[in-house]
Amino acid sequence: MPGGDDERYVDRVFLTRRGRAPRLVPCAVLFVDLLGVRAMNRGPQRAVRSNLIALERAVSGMYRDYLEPDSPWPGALFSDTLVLAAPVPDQDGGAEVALGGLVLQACWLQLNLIDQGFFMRGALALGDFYIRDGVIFGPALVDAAELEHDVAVHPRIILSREAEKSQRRALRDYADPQQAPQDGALTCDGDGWTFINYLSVLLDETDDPRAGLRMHRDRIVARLAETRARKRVWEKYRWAAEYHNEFVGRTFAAEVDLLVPIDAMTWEFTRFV
Amino acid sequence: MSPIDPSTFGTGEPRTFDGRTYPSHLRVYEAYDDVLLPVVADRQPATFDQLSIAIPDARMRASLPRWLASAEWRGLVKRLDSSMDAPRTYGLGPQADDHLPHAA
Repeated sequence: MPGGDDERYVDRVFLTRRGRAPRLVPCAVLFVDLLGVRAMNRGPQRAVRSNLIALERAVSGMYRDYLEPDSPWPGALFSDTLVLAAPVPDQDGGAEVALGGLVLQACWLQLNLIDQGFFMRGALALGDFYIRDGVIFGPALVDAAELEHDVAVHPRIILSREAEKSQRRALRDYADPQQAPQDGALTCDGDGWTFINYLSVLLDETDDPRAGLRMHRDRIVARLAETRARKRVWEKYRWAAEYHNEFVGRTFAAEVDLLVPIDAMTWEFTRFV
Repeated sequence: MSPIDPSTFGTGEPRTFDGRTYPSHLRVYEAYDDVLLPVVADRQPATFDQLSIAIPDARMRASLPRWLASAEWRGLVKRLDSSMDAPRTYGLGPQADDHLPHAA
């Protein structure tokens, strides 16, 4: 029943009250490209099926179901692209709330996908958006997709400049900004872009974070070895190794066994003669 | 089995058997106990999605992952995962009774 308690979340948010017409709504929008999925669709049928099972498990069978139809974070997956949205609530600091929530969702999504062998590259943007029953549309989607394609480069999720400003505004609510959730969940990269520090959620858990860090290290080392001869791809996983080692250095500095070994991430040179 | 040493529940400084301590950045989410713990009580066992759908306030909903982590450290909720191939499931933990409003 339109407007009733049983009305779907996406209908309530993305349809007009009168006329039930689609409408654009201010949202935080996450757009990610899963790296290597095209290659995973080629090869023996058994391998392709195994990749499908891994993808399905990462997206809906680990932390949560990112494609749950009634979720307040509506999502869509097509081919190697995944989109998640957080409508901006009509309250003070609404954009900051939507972005902050989506950042945490992105952390778990990224960890789950890497656990199943899928690294990703993406962007988080703020703006008008529509998502309902498989249709996604809007300027925020275009902004996020362009940032993913043109700027992200490495297996990281970057924030648009507007999204970054919004998260910095949220820090003003804290007497000590280092106590704000944004401080741990976001990190600034050397090229000036802010990206989602997804390993940080391992520190929230009662489970020993070292298990998650070993998983992350092993996935990176495997990818570095697989792509050694394809330098453009190898460089992406080298960035992931740098990120991993920087995080371990800050959180478990004495535990060098958690690091990606230097020889796995070192560029190789050979003599001319 | 939970890695938290139950003798440290209620001390304000919960600790795991292997000596890890409650992350200080989670303390801020304790302010949501009064609202979010009854949501778990009403729906347990519940997945993350079942809980998030039941929370109308966007700010609290956005904080749900961190509140769940904070509540798990303090024994207010516990994980009831039935399988490694299913989304996480949550129920009330051993310390929940002390924090829930009880009917007269």
